[in-house]
Amino acid sequence: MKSMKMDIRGQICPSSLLLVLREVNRLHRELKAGQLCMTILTDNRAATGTIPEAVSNMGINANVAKLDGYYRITIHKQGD
Amino acid sequence: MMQACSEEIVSGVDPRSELELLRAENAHLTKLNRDAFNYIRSKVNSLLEVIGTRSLNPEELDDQNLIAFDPIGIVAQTFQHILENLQETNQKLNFAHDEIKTVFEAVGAGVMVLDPQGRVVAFNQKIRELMLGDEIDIHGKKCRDHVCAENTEDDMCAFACVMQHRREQRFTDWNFNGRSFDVIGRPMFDEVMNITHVVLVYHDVSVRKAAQQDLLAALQETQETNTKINGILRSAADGILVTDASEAVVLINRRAEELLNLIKSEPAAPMKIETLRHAGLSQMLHQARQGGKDSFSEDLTFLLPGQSPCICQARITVIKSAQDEFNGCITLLHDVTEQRAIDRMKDEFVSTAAHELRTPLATIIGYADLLQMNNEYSPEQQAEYLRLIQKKAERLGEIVSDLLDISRIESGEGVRLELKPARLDKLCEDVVKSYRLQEVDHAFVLDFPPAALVTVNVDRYAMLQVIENLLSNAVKYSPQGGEVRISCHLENGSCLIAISDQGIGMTSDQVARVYDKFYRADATNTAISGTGLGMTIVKHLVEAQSGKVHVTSSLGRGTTVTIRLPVVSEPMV
Repeated sequence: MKSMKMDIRGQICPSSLLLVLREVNRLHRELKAGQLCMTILTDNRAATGTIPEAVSNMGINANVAKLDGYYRITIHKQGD
Repeated sequence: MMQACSEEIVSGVDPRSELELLRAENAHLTKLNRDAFNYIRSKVNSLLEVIGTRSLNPEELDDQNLIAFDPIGIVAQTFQHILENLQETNQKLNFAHDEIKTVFEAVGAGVMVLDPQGRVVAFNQKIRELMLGDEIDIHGKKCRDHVCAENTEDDMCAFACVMQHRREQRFTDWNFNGRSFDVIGRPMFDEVMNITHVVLVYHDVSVRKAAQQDLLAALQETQETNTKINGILRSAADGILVTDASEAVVLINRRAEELLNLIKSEPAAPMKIETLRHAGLSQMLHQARQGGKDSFSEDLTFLLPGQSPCICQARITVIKSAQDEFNGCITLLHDVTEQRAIDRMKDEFVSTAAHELRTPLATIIGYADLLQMNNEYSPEQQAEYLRLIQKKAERLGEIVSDLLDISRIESGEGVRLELKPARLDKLCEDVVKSYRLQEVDHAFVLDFPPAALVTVNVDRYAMLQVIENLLSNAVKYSPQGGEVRISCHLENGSCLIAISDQGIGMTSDQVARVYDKFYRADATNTAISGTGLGMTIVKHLVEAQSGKVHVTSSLGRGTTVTIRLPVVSEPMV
């Protein structure tokens, strides 16, 4: 499985959400096929709610982990 | 309006006016541009609101970058993916729905779904088959009014119990329409844990229950049969011992336990062949395991405490599986002690009878040869030889008579008797007289006091045979010149004749066996002739004449045989 990382720290919603959605849309096929895992680093707390909800509606899973001063959102196919 | 302005500029009327027009046009275009961007921003914000995020401020993304970033395109494509996902989810839901519906109908149990008021929301075909039939529709109706009509107790209503306890409830032996059911009731909850539905599952266990009852009846019958068989085996007169393939004793009856001296209090742990305490039997069982014969027998001697040794014929039959593998043995221990004793006595009798028959025959043949070969014997010598031939022939006749008598007694035919009143003193005198003629060197004493001269009801010839037998024994087993006393007295209406000798006597064991056929107290002494049948015949003949025989003896001092007969007439004095 491939992986990619997006560091959008400093960005706030909705641009952080739109940036992630743009990449999710671009890589949608690979994400749905379970061939790719995206890792998003964000320091915007609102994004930890909007990003997982938006991608889960597309049938893609998102897990949020709180790290030191920022969050890590892992996006991958549901069930993986 | 823009078209009108252009026409004025083209006509070149007034440069100032033209500038004004241009300004106005510019302002108009700027406004249009602003309106367009505001429209785009408002639509972007609406879309962002739909996906749950806040508005996109111009400070965050200016107009130039807004077009380049294309948020509407991003959100639109996101919506497209969300729609695709919804379609997939719907397909899956439809499939799951079909699947559940198929299971709902195909499941072997009746399934019914109720709302919290106990109204039927759904039920499957099995419920119709088991409880309703084709006509009744219970959708929206109270379950209790239709299904529980016969079982209205609350504690037996699965729905009521599930609603009360808010968890799964199980019932067994719930009856409806002559069928037995196992019922499982289960609640379904919404997000706030309110019961939305109750699912009731009815398993028809009528056949299983009937089978269980049949099985129980069969089991009980088997146990009863087993108890009977065990009772029969345990009380069988023969010892029975069953061992398995591992040489462990799986069944042993009471007689076998007695023979093997096994005590009841011994541990009930599986007993192995080695612990049977009988080397011969253990060896036979090992031999059976090693193969060879499927059935074989051997005589074994068992020593029982305080009793005479017991001879048993041990017959072992090998148990084999369908694959011809050794599965154990059945051993029967049949008591042949008496049979073997008779066999031994018969052997002795054959030997004795041969000797008894051969001795007079040799004499007869010898004297007959002498008379044939030599005619020079005097008439007195010839008479003497003929007398001897006759005497020995009579002896042969007696032996043959004894054999015929015992044969008749054994076959149950018995000896024909003709009972007539007779005087015992006369009969005894006749027998003694013939003995005196035989040159016997014994002293015969007849002691018949006048008070004992009575008449008894006897067969004359049978009684002569009895007295002859008893006198013969007295003479044979007592030394030459010994006294043989025949006395008589009355006792309680009976006449008792006692014949006593001063002979070698017998032990108590020998006395106990004196009536056994072929038994001879001292079979090793071939000098004393006899077939071992005399006392057997005496006992039979006396008892056939309503009498009894009693023997008392003392080893080395002599024997007395007493015959008791009922008196017919009073004494002659």
